[in-house]
Amino acid sequence: MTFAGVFSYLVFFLIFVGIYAIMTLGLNIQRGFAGLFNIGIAGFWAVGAYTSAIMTKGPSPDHLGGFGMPFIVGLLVAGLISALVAFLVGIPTIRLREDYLGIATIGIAEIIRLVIKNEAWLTNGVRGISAIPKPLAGSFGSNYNLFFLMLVVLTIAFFYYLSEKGINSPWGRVLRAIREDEEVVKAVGKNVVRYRLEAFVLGAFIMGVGGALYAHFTSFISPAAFRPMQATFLVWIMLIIGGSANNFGSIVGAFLTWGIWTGTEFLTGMLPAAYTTQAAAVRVILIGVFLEIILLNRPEGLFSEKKYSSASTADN
Amino acid sequence: MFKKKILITMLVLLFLSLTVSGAFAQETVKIGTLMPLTGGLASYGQFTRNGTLLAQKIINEQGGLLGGRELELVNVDTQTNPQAGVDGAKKLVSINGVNAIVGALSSGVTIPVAESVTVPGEVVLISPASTSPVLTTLEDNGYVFRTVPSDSLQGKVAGNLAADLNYDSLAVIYVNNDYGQGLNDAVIEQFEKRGGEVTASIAFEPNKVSYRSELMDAAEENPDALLLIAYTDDGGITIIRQALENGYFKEFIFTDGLKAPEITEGVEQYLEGMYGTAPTAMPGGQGPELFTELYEEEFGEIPPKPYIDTSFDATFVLALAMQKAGSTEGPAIRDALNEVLSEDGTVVNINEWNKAKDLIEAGQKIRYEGASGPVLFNDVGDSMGAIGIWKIENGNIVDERLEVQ
Repeated sequence: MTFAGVFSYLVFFLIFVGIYAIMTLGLNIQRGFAGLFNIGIAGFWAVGAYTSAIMTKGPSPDHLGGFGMPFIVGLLVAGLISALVAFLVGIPTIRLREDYLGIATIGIAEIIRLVIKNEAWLTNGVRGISAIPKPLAGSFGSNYNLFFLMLVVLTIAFFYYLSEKGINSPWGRVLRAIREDEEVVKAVGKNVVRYRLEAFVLGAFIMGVGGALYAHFTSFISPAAFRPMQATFLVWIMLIIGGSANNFGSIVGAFLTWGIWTGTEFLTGMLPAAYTTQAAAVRVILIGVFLEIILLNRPEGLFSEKKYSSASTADN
Repeated sequence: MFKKKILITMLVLLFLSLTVSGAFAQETVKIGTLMPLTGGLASYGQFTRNGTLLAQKIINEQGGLLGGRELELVNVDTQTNPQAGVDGAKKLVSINGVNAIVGALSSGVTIPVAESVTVPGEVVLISPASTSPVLTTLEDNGYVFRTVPSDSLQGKVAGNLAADLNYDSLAVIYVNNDYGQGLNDAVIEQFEKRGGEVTASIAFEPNKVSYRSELMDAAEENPDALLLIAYTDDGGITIIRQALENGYFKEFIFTDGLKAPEITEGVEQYLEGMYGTAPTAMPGGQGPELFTELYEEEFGEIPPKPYIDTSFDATFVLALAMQKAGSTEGPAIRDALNEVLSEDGTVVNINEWNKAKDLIEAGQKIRYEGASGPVLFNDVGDSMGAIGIWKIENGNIVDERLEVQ
């Protein structure tokens, strides 16, 4: 183990944390601020990843493509298509209360996964899309991952700023009010459905961009990457651990959860080789134990909701 | 305060484990293994992992490699998932400092690992189980190998088999994953090349109760036979039963996933004389028998699961290449892998590591008669393979003959 090796892994680790943090920021707008129960994150993640892959790749006989767009266009279109999907999905479902919306969104994520699996002309089906171009590949040599990390951090910073700005505005105040009591908001004459839909679409946009970053980073996507466990529920855990309705908490939650998820591997890796199989099972238990410890001690998550006073809204 | 303490203890533990795991093992030669021990392929992963451990044991018992250094295997659980697999591979490369990896099993993990970690990091990757044709065409600078043949090979043999049986038309039903799709495409290509007509090619989702609608579509134009690409436990048996019950098909061709005695239970007389294909050991050598013997000595009865032997071979071949290269650097291992094995070299059996070392020292080429048969890589790093043709006779599965690539 060398210092350079640890550093290189750390950068890699932070890229994954960053991509998950983007997902969590998206979910935070939907769940944390607007109270929308979206358990279809995997679907929007997949839409973003596939859109950007198709937009930026050169021609391929295996799937739709050949647009050869620059990376940044890929990101943008990924966000837009993901938002569009959310909009279309939202029209019939956004009126649903809590758990019903949850059921609808998990169904939609599954539909999206099956479409990706079966519409081979579009996505190359179960074989997935390989050789997704990396932005400015080759120009940074062995420091490439560092450059990618910067891209991810910039994206996080942008969405963080956007989200903070939004939530501190009157728009954000309405969202939080809807979360607390819809009827009251209706009574003061606000169009509740429109606000909910806006939060849903904006969150989906962020998730789409996160998905695109994932696609470009791993260079290969297939339906196997968008199973609910890693793509949906892990993001939820991150939000819950970090603290709902707190953007900073979302990022810390992503860091800590992914840290536990992968860090436990180091712990179980110390067991003798003969116990590798058992160690893998122990690791899963450890993850559970760590998460329980945090939740028992901080049921609100590590960071609870920030106080947004009317004074701070008035400043903006 | 209590909470803070717990958090701090957790972090300290994490970092401690980091440093401790690094402080061990100065003199060993490391090979990483990426096996799924949790998730969808967990039931395969523990046995393929045993395959690699057996190779390690043989090598270390016979004096290790690179001047007596011990071989150490570091495994990371891929969780059968690309996100975790990619992270695990990066861990192996950066933290553990391995330059050669055996894994992963599913193509959906192997390909992203190759593209984002091992190829840019100049690390040699040998998959013992990923059969996707995508791996063949991957731009990998020669760093990606596999000890299983591509699906397209079996598809070709199955297509030929159908033509040899004088079928003019064929319907294909395949399990909807990269394995099924790859086979399906190769079958169609070969069968049409031989002048046959594929009237339907239908994907099915695993574990449904009824496959009658798929079967109805497949039987619509009255093809001569059904070529079924499935596993026994994901719906394959149901499809066979329902095809017979409703009289959709009388003639079948099966693929490797269905090479199991369960498929004939209760329907022996209807499946009598049907044929199937399955990848098998290349002819020559007693690698498979020897492997079964050694495995059972070490771990007890060998389960009827694939890729245990190929995992053994991947580990052994990597060690050979390291010995040949005299180095543990990725590019050197890659080049040595292409040089060390040869069809007409001196025979080395799976328990003859010492002999292999001597041969390498003498500068001779090796014909490694591995656990899965002789291992030879073609110029894109795919293993040359053989496909066996089997037949159902008196309700039993009997091997008929071999087709070599």
